[in-house]
Amino acid sequence: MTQQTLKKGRLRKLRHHPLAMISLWVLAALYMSALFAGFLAPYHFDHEDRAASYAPPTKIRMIDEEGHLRWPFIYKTSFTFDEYYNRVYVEDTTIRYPVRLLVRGDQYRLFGVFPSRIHLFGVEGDARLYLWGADSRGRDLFSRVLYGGQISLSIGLVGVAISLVIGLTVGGISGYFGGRTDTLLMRVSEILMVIPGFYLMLALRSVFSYSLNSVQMYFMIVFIMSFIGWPGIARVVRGMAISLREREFVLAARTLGVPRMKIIFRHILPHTFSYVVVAASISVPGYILGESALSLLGLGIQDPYASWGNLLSEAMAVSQIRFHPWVLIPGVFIFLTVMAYNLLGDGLRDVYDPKRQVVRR
Amino acid sequence: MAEELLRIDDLHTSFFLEDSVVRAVEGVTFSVRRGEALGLVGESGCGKSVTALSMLRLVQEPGRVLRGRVTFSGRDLLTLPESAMRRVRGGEIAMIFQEPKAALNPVFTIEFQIQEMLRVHTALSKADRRRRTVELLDKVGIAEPAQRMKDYPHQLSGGQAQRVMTAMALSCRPKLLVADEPTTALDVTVQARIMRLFRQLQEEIEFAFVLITHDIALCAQAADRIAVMYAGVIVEIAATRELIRNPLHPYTRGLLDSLPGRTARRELRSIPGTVPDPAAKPPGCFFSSRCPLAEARCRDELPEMREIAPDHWVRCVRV
Repeated sequence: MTQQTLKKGRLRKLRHHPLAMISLWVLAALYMSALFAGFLAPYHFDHEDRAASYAPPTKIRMIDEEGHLRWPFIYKTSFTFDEYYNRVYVEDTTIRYPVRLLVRGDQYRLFGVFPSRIHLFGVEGDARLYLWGADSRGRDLFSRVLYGGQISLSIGLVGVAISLVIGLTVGGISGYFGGRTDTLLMRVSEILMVIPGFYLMLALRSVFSYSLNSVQMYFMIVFIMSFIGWPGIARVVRGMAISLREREFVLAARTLGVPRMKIIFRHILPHTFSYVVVAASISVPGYILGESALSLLGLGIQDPYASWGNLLSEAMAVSQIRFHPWVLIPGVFIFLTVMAYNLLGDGLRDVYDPKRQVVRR
Repeated sequence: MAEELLRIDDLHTSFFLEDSVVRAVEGVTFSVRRGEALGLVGESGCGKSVTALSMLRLVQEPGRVLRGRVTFSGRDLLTLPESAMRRVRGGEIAMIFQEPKAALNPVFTIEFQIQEMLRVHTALSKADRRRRTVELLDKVGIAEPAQRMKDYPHQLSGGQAQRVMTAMALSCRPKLLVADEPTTALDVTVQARIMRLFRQLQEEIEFAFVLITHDIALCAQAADRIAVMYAGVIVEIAATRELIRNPLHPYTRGLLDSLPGRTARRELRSIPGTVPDPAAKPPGCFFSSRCPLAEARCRDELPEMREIAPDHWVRCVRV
């Protein structure tokens, strides 16, 4: 059997895990939506309309006042105040604003490169389509959730990638060299693991300047999360390296004069692949949740940029949830993503790691 | 007599376990001449492999080389800096192992693994390395080398894997090839073919060859000289013909008596007892506990190596 058929065999095995397969598709859809956020979102994430603060989700209608079936359309809304001085939005049924496909709207850059104004759907004129309602400044929540996905979803991947690089290197060196190197590296990783993750996160956050631009902020969060994440991986990889270093092909490589670092990276670390795949999948949610937690507290991604965490910060007051329940929608996405990654990880573990030797962070 | 390529003097290697010290190698002395084939024979656990690993400074914790001198091409390998030592390993002294399939990394193609050797030890270009790989595989008798080198180790048979290991070991034209039980894991017909390959390669690309084995018959076919090891020391060393015709040490005789003869049907004899626990060897001659000829003075002290006939050394007071 060739290596290719082995790999195919593994993917085929994953098909026997319906939950893992569904999760895979859910994640694929989420990442695609983040990738094409500019196109899918009817508005730019910072397109505000103060007159539409907390506007409820716009009703898309197909039947007009006279009872005729029409192409989907919306009515423009404006607000009045009720007796408690809460805003009440009412529809103005005189003009219909049809929902059009491929309309011109706010400028955006597809994949951050190609400038475009074409959006998948939207309305023309002065009415606004709030598919999932508006936030306090009248920005479209649907658009912001899509844009927020770009940050929240990518932070998990980038964070895990960096953690893996550090964890594999440290674990490989620690396990292979052993002795004092091992003791030193493992004590450092233990110190990091002993401090509760969230305090460590806040402590690290305070190291950085409070006012950072959005790119710096992004990388700061990635840095903080990876800094917390690597010790768990390093410890498991170390254990595997200790057993792998006794394997005969490692002795053969040493006998034939292969340098030590090459032995670690070429002969030892590739054998930890099955663990790494599973660990990566299971630890992505931790990063997404970490980012959300920081942003929720206002220590992470800052307005006007959107991440699922800072979108949820609007939902911190009970009154918000009571009067504008749609602000909870970003939480649904966090839940979906975390759930999908965990189920996928479980499936992958069954496929790659029949012995189930996974250590959760 | 050809010049000495490798000389091991009074090599001591011990393993420091929690509750005991295992003296695996206790004063091994022998030399390998340029281009010759030396057989290192002995029962399991007598220190053959540890001798080879000590020589390459690859003994792992808790083992340590305590003293001795390993002179290779005029340098003392035990005091060489680690970076220079790395160039010696694989570059000048190569080693192959008992389980060829375990010695190949299962996640890489054999092409990658042979080329890795060339990358580490030579400055050849990519195209040259490829050409060299094909050439080497051809030389060790792999049919259709250009196709087979894309294979992974699990696609090879045991014999093929040992051929690939040999190609890897010889890729940088070492002066010395150490083969640690290279055919023990293979079946007998394959074993004969691999041994023939070693001979043939040795004629083609001159290298000295140390064959480590427990099989004295195999040694007799393949080696120019044989060194017999017992419990961490060499007890007898002589040219193959001399040693087979005129074995002097009782242990060597025991080994030869335990072989089936080609002509006369006779009862096979075995050496009574087992190899002493390396942590608790008998006083005096280590073989005294099993020796049919042992007498009181054998238990006093370990006998010295003495040259009984030209180039025939033995460590026994009774000879």
